[in-house]
Amino acid sequence: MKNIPVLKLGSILFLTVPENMNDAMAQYLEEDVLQQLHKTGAEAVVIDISSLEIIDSFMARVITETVQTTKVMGARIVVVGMSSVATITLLELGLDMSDIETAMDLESGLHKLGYRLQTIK
Amino acid sequence: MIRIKIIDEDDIIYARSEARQFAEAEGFSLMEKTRLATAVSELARNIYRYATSGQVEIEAINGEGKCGIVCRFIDQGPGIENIEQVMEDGFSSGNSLGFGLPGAKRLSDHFSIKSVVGQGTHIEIIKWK
Repeated sequence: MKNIPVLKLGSILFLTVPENMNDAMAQYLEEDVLQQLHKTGAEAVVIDISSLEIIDSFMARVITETVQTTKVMGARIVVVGMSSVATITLLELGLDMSDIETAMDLESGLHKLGYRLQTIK
Repeated sequence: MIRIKIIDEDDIIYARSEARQFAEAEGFSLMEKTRLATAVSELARNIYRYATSGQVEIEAINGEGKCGIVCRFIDQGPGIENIEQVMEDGFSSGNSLGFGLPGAKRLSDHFSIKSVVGQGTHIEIIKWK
């Protein structure tokens, strides 16, 4: 089973949730984030879910649990790139993810975490 | 019609991507494709979780001058004792969020369920274009 790559930039960890994630990979996701947080001392995490065409109750639980455990570790976390159709479907399913900090894209996600991209002059 | 055996988790992913492709072939909108694929994902996962194994049938149909996709979820699992109860939001008999059935119903245009304790469960959903 392949792990999900976790990239580090400064004090932020980035990871992209793969399109078709099964239970085993989901468990790795949570463990990887926690291990990397511990190892690197990163202060914030960005989870990109833009490759997910659908979010069912299983995926929603994986994301919610990863967010919760990250917060317990003392790091901030933002979920970016949720598609509009996935968002609508999620609400129709009856799932509430409003406790989770989300952003439309990576740039606004970074902004929510208090970072801003700047060009070197 | 396609019949997919649900034995492990990857079969859930396979079932929902097949449903998506059927909907795609019928010209469903992105929103409707996503609703159908999500409902299939929820119901196929129920088979895997509660009945261990079963099958999903996906078929394109025509009715009342419109086209649609019918999906059947068949298992010989433990069955459901109180269907009304599991159709309530927030109820779950297993270790899950418990939104499976009512959520899948909301995402579908038609939803019917038959279940006999000790014999299994048969769920049918239809999504019209």
